[in-house]
Amino acid sequence: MKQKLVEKKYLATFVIVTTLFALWGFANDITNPMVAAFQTVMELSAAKASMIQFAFYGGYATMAIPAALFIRRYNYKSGILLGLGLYATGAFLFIPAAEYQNFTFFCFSLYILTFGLAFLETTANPFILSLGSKETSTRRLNLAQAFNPVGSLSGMAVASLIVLPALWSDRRNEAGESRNPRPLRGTRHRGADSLPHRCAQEDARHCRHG
Amino acid sequence: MLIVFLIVALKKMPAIAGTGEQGASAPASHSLRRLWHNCHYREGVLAQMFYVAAQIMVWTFIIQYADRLGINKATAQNYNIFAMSLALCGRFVATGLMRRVNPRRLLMIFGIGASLCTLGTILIDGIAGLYCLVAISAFMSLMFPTIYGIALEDVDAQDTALGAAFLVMAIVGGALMPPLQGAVIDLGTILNHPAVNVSFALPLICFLVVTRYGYISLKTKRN
Repeated sequence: MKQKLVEKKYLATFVIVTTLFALWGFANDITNPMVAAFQTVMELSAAKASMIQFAFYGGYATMAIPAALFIRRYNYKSGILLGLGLYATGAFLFIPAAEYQNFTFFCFSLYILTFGLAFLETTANPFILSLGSKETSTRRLNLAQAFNPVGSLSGMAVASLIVLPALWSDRRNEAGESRNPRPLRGTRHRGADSLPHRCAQEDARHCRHG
Repeated sequence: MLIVFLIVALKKMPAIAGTGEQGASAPASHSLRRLWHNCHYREGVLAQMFYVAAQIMVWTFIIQYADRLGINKATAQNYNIFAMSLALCGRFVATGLMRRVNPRRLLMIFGIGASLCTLGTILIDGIAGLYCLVAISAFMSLMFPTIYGIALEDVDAQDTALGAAFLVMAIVGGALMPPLQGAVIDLGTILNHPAVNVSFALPLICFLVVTRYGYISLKTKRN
């Protein structure tokens, strides 16, 4: 119990990986309204909206184990790098997807993005656990994970200050007058068909750090 | 929209440059079998699955709960943000508490706390119920990292990566339950009680599973 939570030699690494937790919390909450916007702009059916969910969790399901095998083969560091790379690739793929408003392409981008998340989630957590003695490992992970909501909250703040206003004007241009403006997140009226919708948006926000 | 994606992508770059730590790499696919026979780990994956389910439900359906109380959506969103902030503080508090209290015991205690709050959410028909619902987040905060840590504690170092993978897969399993709660909510009322309230019986079950995990892992640790 008296042991140090993070030993000096691990401190730099701990700080960097912890920063990573905050960063991906941030990235998640800033991309989230965009996912929601896609749903509204494209006027998706419930079935299609649940495809978004499928892509999101499908990414986790596909990549968690390959990620583990990758880490075994190489190391935690390359796991993190690849995770970030995949995340960035997925995020960049949104750009052409937005350009062409292609739903399948959009789901594909999200799928790739969650590959990245699966990699990060599989890598960073045990990495933190292993940065020191076993007795303090759980406590260490709690501390590191505490910075994840820090990122999320700032992501939300930035999203509501910068991204959302931009999206509103975007949507007016693309969607014209006919649509009743609906607020973006978790605000649809409940009903069996709107549920997958809502879950997809909300889950994207809440899931990755647990 | 495009610009923000660029920012997100660029923001991640500095983190890449500084990483530098060699992880252990070991061969062998016996890991899988070892993990499967590790009862404590297996239960951990299950607990994680239930936890993730509970978390998604508790956070997703705050809006519905507030909505039924006649609170407008913008205000309801604030409750959501408040819950997130509580989760944030909770993790720091939990980290502090673990200095004195065994993480397994703390998991159990927080599990009981979360269960009680959920019970309040179900039974109280009014604003206090909403407060209970928000308060769950404080108790929920430690669960993900703590289950993760406890489950991997007894796992051999060379199996850790694969062990972590299944804990991440548990997220997928957890995603199956929220639509169920949505279906319950759509019923409107159950036995003269608002269905939104009743639907929180599902996260309650989840928290009981988590509490039980804390309890049994505490007992196995003693032995």
